[in-house]
Parts: sequence; structure tokens; C-alpha cells
Amino acid sequence: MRPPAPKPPPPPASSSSSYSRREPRPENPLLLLPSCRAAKLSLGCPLLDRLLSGGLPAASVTEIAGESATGKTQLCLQLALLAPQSPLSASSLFLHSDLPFPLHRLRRLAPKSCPNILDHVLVAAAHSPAELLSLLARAQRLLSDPGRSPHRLPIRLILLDSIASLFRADFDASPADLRRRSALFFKISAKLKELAYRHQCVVVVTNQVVDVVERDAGNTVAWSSGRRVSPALGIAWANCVNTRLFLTRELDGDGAGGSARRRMRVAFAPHLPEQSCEFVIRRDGVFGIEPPQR
Amino acid sequence: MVVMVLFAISAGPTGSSDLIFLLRTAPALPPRLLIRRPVSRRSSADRPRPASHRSSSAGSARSSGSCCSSSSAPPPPRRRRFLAGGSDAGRAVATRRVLDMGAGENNPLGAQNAWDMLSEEQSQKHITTGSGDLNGILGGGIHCKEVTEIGGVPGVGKTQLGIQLAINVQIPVEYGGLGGKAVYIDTEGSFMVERVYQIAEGCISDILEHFPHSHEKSSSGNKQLQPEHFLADIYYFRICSYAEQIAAINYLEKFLGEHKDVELCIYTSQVRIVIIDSVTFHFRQDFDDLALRTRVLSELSLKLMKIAKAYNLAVVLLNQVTTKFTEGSFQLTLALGDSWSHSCTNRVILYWNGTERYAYLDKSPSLPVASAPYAVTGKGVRDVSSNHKRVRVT
Amino acid sequence: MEERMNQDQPSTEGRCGRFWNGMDLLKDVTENKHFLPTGLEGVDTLLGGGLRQGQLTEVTGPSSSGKTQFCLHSASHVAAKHMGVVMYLDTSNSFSPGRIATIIDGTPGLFGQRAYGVQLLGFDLQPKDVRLKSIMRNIICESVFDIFALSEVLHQLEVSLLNDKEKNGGSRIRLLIIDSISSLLAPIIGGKYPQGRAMMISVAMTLKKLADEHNLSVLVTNHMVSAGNGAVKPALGESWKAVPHVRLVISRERGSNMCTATVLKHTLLYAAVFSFPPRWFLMYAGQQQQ
Repeated sequence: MRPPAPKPPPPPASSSSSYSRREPRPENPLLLLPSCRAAKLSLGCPLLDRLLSGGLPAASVTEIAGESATGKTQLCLQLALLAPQSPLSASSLFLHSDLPFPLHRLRRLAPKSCPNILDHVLVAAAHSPAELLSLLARAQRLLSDPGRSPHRLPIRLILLDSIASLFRADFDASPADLRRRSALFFKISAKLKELAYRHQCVVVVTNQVVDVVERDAGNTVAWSSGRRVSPALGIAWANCVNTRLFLTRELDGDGAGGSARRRMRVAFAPHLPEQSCEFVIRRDGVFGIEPPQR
Repeated sequence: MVVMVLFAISAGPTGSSDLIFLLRTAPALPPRLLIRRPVSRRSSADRPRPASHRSSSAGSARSSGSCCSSSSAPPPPRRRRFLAGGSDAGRAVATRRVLDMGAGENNPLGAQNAWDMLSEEQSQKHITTGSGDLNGILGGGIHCKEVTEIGGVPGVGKTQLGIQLAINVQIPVEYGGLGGKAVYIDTEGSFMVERVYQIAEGCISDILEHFPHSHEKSSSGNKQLQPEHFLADIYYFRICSYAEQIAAINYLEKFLGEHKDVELCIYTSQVRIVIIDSVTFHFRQDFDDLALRTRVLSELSLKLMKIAKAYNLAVVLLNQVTTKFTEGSFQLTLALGDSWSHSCTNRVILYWNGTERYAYLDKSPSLPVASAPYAVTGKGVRDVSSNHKRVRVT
Repeated sequence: MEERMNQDQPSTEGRCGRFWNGMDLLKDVTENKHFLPTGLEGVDTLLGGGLRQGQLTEVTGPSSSGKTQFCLHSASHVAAKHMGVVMYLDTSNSFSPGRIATIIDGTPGLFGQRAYGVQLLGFDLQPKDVRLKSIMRNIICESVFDIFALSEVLHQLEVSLLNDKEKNGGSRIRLLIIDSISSLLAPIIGGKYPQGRAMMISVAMTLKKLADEHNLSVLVTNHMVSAGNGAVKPALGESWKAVPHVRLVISRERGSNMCTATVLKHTLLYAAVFSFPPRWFLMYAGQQQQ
């Protein structure tokens, strides 16, 4: 087992259970530079890591959007299993809203060499936005006070699969309900970002897509399986995430029936250019592939 | 007098027995919303001192109001004076006419005539955005002493522009910049330090391209053109709730005051831009009392206006867009709508036109509305030109 | 309580309002309360001449509809036609001296010939242009960022005007502009705090008193808030509605330079005025066209 990496400098807020209200103090970005470069969660594949310039960043919310069966959950499970052995050296908290939790897939993905790696994956279910908020409050207490189970690594990866299914029920399209829904987005996002910042966590949220009909420009729309799609929950939710990765599937006309080319695209990110990379889903995980030589 | 008294009675919900209460006491606004009076205004020699002749009349509220120059609590408003017609006593005091009151270095908020302001405005440098076209529609760049709001959909480049401005304000004076420092208040966590480093490197390489002999200069006041120095001159605040945002802006005034005094003696740079990214994020959650949100936001914007004018710096507010249900359809507008839309001096909207990014100047006191394209490259915000596009890796 | 109230009243009888008879009032109105044209022809027609001295005029409208431009035009015109000094209280750092210079330069009949060409984004300002200097020195701008500072400024203005009246028999200030008064009042009104509204009324009374006693014209701007279902209404609520003598609503089509002004309330013109069509005026950032 690799020794755990040195801990990054603690965030300015105190680590007591209630974040203390002190006078705001400016930080120096130069001092933050080394920890920013080091605290990235690798995806386990050098090509995908190159796409993301090292991996998923800490203190930031990354969204993975795509149609169903494009590999979102697979990627989340893969991240949860990579986290304990990565330089981040962390446990993960997996919040799922789609029933049931894919335990058998997780078991299949787990490397045979470490049988108790599943100890480092904490799972909780949330079926509504209110439940999610209460789960996040519990997670805050857990993160602030990690001393309870000393053999477990600190939680520094939070996965939420998926945000769209939390909001499917009991919201109509009336303006008042949409406003209420948006207010919940911001509340959830603010909580996730606070956890991410105070405890230097990597937060990953998955999202589904919806069809779009009207002409939409820019980076919100992509072609997947022959349809024009856009991530669900609209522009309000798009304002709540820092990075958005789009997983698309292009049906290959000339390949064997059912084969598809999958592509991971950076829709927007504060630190990445807009680029994409092809990948495949194999039995042992999601891996990037080089584009075929022309 | 009688008319005014009657009016005061009818304005509030109090009865006549409470009239004295209205006249004597200060409004009990909650502490968070109290607008702090700047101490400098009180101590400036230009202001008349009506306290001396007032001591004869009773009214502790009034005299305490005029004399509390050193207390931290804001003095009660002098409503009393208007209701009682106190200008009779004021006539006896030899006061400087308001027309003669001048603004100066120690009183930047004082009265000035338009001609003096014109010459000041012409000598004002602007903060370049990195893109010549964008500078063109903005009249040279982002103006100091003004609050500029920049809004756009996610991914169009608001944070990139914010970081670019935080770097560009630091361009030394000898290369045409302001040589100032930046304050960056991050509410969303989009400030990625490695990207800031990349943009700083891009800015330095452009400077060296334009001024090829600059590395030979080594005057003592010259800032070393290293990305690390650019990073170190950004004061970065990360805030996680609206209460922290208000606290940060209150602290900012104190912070700027301290740094101004220190730096003036040493003749080095001071803060010339404050960027808030994004200003409305924490206010879009559920607020039980929307009137409270409006009041807090109005006070926030007034405070930012004051900071911009008093410390001669630019304030840039990055804002999100939202869909608003107007006239039977959903339209894209900036967040927090009507109550916030008047809180800035200039407004720029960033939008997509096909695959190109465009900026549209929506509000400005002196410039016409216009659009210009810009691009976000590996080096930062630049003009649109074919060889500088971000490389598409497929 | 009775004695305390009386003790605080000023003792001289002259400060209690004297009783005016109708002829005195008429004489005052015809001699002292003139119209100050704003320089925007459509608006002047709509207002029956311009901004009236002794009255409080409010201009309201949605964001970037032209309220600040309206104020800048009025200030430039009053100063340029040497009608007096303009006091401009600015709350959002929108007072642009460059824009004032452009407007003055574009005012027809002001200079004998064009003294110089003024570009929009950069000036070739000749230092010897004494006329522009003398005009612009008549516009005083002060920044106020809270309602208490505004009260103080108004008090000092009052004192100064009284001094002027004593010494010179009348003051030189003709127009007082507050852009915008609603941003100063927004932090304190609304919700459960009646003291905020009382403060607003007190400031309003001061403004009207200044206007009436010293023959000033007061121009304030207001913004709009949502009124439910996508409609908008002027801010500051019901208590403010009764305060201004004249209320104008202006609006601008997106991307165009044409603004439309509508009269919401006017104390002097009778109800039939609301059937007048809204007037439009152009505020072009280079020249002012009629």
C-alpha cells in the first residue's frame, strides 16, 4: 500500500463542527498552487486524465451528463474504487437516487487484490431533495469529525447519482414550481460546494439528458444516438456546477450491429479547453482509447 | 410646521401620543442593515459644525448625532431638523457654501464640478480585457470608479474574463497598465489556480512580445515579470454563504483603507479592481422574506458603488442568467431581475452566436450599445483570430 | 410634553408659513416658477414646457431605458442655456462628464460655430475652450451612497441657499437632480420597518420645501419592480405615489435609440392629458436629434 500523501494545508475555517465566524481573511493563490495541482482524482486511464488535465479537481463540483447506459454510473463506481489508492487516499460517499444501488457491479469492478476496498465506500439513498439536504447535513458532521472510525480513510470523494431523478416527481412546469425547483438547486449546490471547499473533496454529480427541439447555441447541446440532447434541469442547474462533462454515443453506421463510439466531451470547465476523447466501457472499467489512425 | 407634523402622523402607524417618540429616537434598523456612515465625512474640515449652536435646545438625540465621530455605531438620522425647520439656527452659522465645497484627495466623495471631473476622467486609465474588440465597445476597457456587471450563460467565459482582468490590472505602468493589485471574491469555486497561472503566463508572453527589450530593464520599482508575482498580488476570498459575502464586503472597506495608507507611503501599487464571481449565487436560494433579500442586495450594491468611488477602483460583478417568464414565454435575463438590475453603472452580456462568443454592452452612461466578438484561448481572453483558437483535441 | 414640544419650535414667527392669498400665489407662480426645458423636444411638449420650478418631477422606467440620459440631457441644457447652476447627486457613479460635453457640443444654437469636433471615445480638447468650461463649471456633481448622507447634503444645500438668498437675493441653483433616489431608499423600505417609510417621507418633504421656497426644480429617478405576472410597476410603493408633482414613465425598445415617455401623473394638466399619445424622443449617443 502506498503511504498516504501529505495532507494539503487546512482550509482557513476551523475544523470544529460549526464553521466559526471569523473575519474574512484573504488567501494567496501562489500558496494554493501546489495543492491545487496535487489534489486531483485520476480516472485510472492516462488518456482520460490528459483530457481533464490531471483528473477531477478538488473543491469543485463536476457534472457528468449523458444518456442512459453511456457509462455514468460505471464511471462513478470506478472513481469510488480508485480513491483509496490514489494520492487523494480517501473514502467515498456514494449518494444514489436511482434504486437499487448497483452492488454487484461494484463487486465486479473491485480489484481482487484488495478485498476490503469496499470498506471505503459509504452508500446512502436519497429519494427527494429534502432527503438529500439532510444527508448532506449528516455528511457535514461526519466530515468535520472524522475520528470515529480510525481505520477508515477520510472521506474526500462525494458522488451523487443522479440529480435529475431527484427532481422528476412533484414538480410541474408552472413558473412558481420552477422557481421553487431552482431555489432547491442552489441550496443543494451551495451545500455541496461548501463541503467540497472546507474539506477539499472531489464532488461528482451525474445528470440525465433531455431532447431539445429549438435551436440552441453553444455548448449545451450535443448529438447523441442521433438525437439532439441537452443535460436535464435546464440553465438553472447548469449555473450550479463548475465543470460539465458530456458523454455521448455515436451509432456507427458501418460497424457491427449495436457497436457505438463513445465520446467524453468537456462542455465547459474553468480550467480546461473544449476538447473530447473517445472511450470504451470494458468489464474492468471505463478507459479512453486513441482515435483510430486515418 | 403644522402641515408637516400632521403629515408625519399620517405617514406612520403611530398615534399622536407617539409623535414625540418619532421625533426623538432613531429608527431601530437591524444591525446588519445599518448603513455605516463613513467617519471621514464627519471629520472633514469642510463640513459645517451645527452642533455648537444646537446645544441650547434640548434634544439629546440630535446633539449626540452630530458629535459621535469616533463611535462605531451609526448616528441617528437628523430627521428632527427637517421637521422642526432648523434652518433658522443654521443661518447664524457661517458655513461654507455647498458650491464651494471641493473634492480632494482626502475627500473623494465630495462635490466637484463637471469640468474638473472631465479632466480627471480623461487622465483615467482603463483596465484592458485582453481583446481589442471588447476594449473598443467598452471605451478602452473596464473603467475605474464604476461598477460593471458582466452576465452570461454558463461556459461562455465570465470567470475567464474575471481572471483575465485580475491579471491585466497588474500589468506594470511602464507597459501601459495600471500596476495595481486585485481582490477576487469567489462564491462558486470556479477560481482554478492553475488556470490563473496559465493566463498570467499568457499575459507576460504578450507583454514581452510587444516590448521586446523589457527584460533588459531592471529598475528597482519594476515588477518582475514572473507568473508567481502576478499570482501573489491577487487577494483571494472564498465565501460559502450570503452572510459571508456581506461580511467580506464590509471587511473589504477596512482592508482597502489599511492598504491604501500603507502603500501610499511606500509608493507601491494598491488594489485597483474588485471582482465578485458570482455576486448572485448565494441569493438565489430560498429566502423566506424576499423584501429582506431586496434590502440586503440594495445595501450591498450601494456599498460597492461607494468603494469604487472612494478608492478609485473598478468593481466587476459576474452574474448568472436565468429564464424568466415574461409576456407568456420564457426569456433569458440576468439573475435577480428588476430589483438588482439598476445596481450597476455598466452592464455587459456575454452570449453565444453560433459557435462564436459575443459581448453586448447593454447599459452605459456614456457609450452606445454595441456588440463585439471575443475568444477564450489557452492564454486567456483574446481577439477572435484563426490561429489563436483553443486547440480542439479530438 | 407640551412644553418640550414648544421649546423645540423655532421662536421667530417668520418661520411659520405665512398665509398666502390667491393673488400672491399667482404672482409667485408667474414670476418665479418658470419652466426649465430639458432640451428633448418631445418631452418638453409633453410636460407643457419642461421641468417646472417649484415642483418635484419623477422619471421612472425599467433598467437602461434612458433615465440617466434624461438627467444628463436636462443638466446639460439648463447649464448650457445659462439658466443657472445644476446640482447633480449621483448614487451609481453614472455621471459622465464626457457625455455632458458631447451633449453640450451637440446642442444647436449654442456656439456660433462648432468649436471642435468631439469624438465619442476620445477627445481632442482644446484647452482654450472657455465657453465649455464655463458651462460645465455650472454643473456640480456629488456622490451620495446612503440616505443619511443625502439628508446631510440636502441640509447643507438648504443652508447655502438661505445664505444666497440673504446676500444675493436669490440663489443661482436652478435644478437639483437625484439619480436615483430609489437606490438610496431601497435598503430601508419594505417589510416590517415603518421608520424607513417615515425617512422617505421626510426626505420628500425636504425636497418639496426646497423646490418651493428657493424656486428649484427637482428631478428624481426611480426604478421598476415586478408587480406579479411579469408586469412592472414603479418602486418605492404606495406612499411615494403622492409625492412627486409630475411622474413620467420612459421605456426603450431593445437595441434602438428611441425612448418613449408617458405621463403617469401631472398635477397641473387635467385628466384629459392621459389620452395624449406618448411622445418619443431620441437620445443618440453622438448627436441629439429632435
